[in-house]
Amino acid sequence: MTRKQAVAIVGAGPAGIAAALALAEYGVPAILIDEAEHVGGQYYKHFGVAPGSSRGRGLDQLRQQGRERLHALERSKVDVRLGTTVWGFFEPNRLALVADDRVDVLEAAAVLIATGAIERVAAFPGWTLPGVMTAGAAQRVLSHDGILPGRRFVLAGTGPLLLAIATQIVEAGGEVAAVVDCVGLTEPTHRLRHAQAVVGQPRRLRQWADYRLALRRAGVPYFHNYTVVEARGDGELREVVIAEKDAGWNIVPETRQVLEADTLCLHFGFAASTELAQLAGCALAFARERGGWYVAHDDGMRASRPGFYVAGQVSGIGGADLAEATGALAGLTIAYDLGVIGAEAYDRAARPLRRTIRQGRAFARMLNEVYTEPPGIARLVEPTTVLCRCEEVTASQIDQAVAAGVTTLNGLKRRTRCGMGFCQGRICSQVVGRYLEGRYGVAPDEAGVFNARVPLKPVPLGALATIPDDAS
Amino acid sequence: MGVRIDAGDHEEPAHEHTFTFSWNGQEIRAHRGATILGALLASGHRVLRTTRIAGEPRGPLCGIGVCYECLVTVDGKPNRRACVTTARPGMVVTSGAVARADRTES
Repeated sequence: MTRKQAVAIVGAGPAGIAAALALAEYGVPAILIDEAEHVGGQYYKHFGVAPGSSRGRGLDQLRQQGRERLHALERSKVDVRLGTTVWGFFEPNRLALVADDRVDVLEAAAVLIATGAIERVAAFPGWTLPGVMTAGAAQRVLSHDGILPGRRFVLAGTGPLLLAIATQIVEAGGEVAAVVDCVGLTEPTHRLRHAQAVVGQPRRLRQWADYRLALRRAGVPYFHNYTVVEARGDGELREVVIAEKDAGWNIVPETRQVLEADTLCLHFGFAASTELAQLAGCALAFARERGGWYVAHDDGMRASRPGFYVAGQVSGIGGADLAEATGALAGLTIAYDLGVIGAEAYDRAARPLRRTIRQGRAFARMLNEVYTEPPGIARLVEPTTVLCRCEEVTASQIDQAVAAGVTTLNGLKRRTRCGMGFCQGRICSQVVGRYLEGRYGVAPDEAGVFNARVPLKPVPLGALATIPDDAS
Repeated sequence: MGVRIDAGDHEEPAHEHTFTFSWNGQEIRAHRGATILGALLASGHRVLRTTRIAGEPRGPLCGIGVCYECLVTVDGKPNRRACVTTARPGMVVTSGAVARADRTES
């Protein structure tokens, strides 16, 4: 078959790989595209870990699972394009790519968007200091480069990933001064939700137990219902201030502690990377149980635009098992829609995947609803706190715009330049969105999302000159 | 600041695993396959640039190529993300002011 007839899969994480393998099984040509120079996405990035540097049983299992998938991918006929960024979409179904500063245009039979998610962060005084990074960033340099990005760490935010990464840091020889989770599991409703969700998830329970045990052995203090309040330092992070908070996110002054640390890792769950889907005109939906904004889809992972499909985190934040199942289902649906398999075979193969997806969503719902970044976190922001890091827009500038009646993200972008920088609003959309909600009571669906625009990621002008003539 | 973790499997001589590149005129040793960011963090460099308006120091934030905080100039090409760019022998990497995203040339 020619290149034109291939299915383009954007994102080579667990969902994209599962979809590619499903398509390969039915002999449908697929091109698997990823910006990174390795397959596996963020989830399977553990492969680079130095042998023996992380001994958690849970992590070993993940690594084994990932290795099997990657080997299957290597044996398949899937065309894998790494170091390749999708920066644009042109009607009716053409993707603009850039790799090695050269632009290419790909016409696809169908497009599967499996672009994953980014970590949520929160804004507070000092959060722009070098040394403050996402927990995932610390994990990535640890796994990929075998580097501990600091010596003494504080991990702050919410959710089980804080425990996982704290464990990795301790096992790699780092010192963890504290793990600070803004959710209090002492609340009975949270405990109940937990109990309901982890039934049938023994592997998760074992993982969590492993982490807790490893951290307790290492003597790492674990603070529930506390939050980071401020990061301090002269040019680089030196101290982290933490404190207990009440239900309304008022800081309890007598609980304030100043911890010496050179690295503060933040993690407040994940936000789906929906930009490509938006650009292609696929409808979004908002639900807390899905982790916020996600790409709307039917029970076969079809997006609202014909010929477009979604899988993984963009279809709702959840674990890797869920991502794989949605990817496999999307691949199956594409094969069915292309007429490669019949209705009966489709239903038979889809049934177990749908069951896995149902279970995965139930578990993800608990995580997304309990371990969320609450709007009250906006109370930590001071007028001089930068909310848009790229364009250096402060909270007081946002306040002025709101006072002038602007309460949508796109309105704020026009007025203050927030969201116009290199990251194209991927970081500040969460931060400003939470600020609008927490400070002014503007609901997320009222504030909206930043419009996606071409190029989705900055493309060197020199590369644009390499666009093939027949592409326009 | 950063610490390299000893992998404990030195089957090849160390020099076959490592090489050097330049960071603001200083020699940085890197392991094969390392990102520029990883190599810089391992050598204690975490301030990668200063901001255009307030001149504030910035380091890496997301580590996965999304936030564009770790922008550096690589062999004369500005605004390259240190976190997703693999270090190569002899590379010349510098920190530098970042232009506005909508007026970028490289």
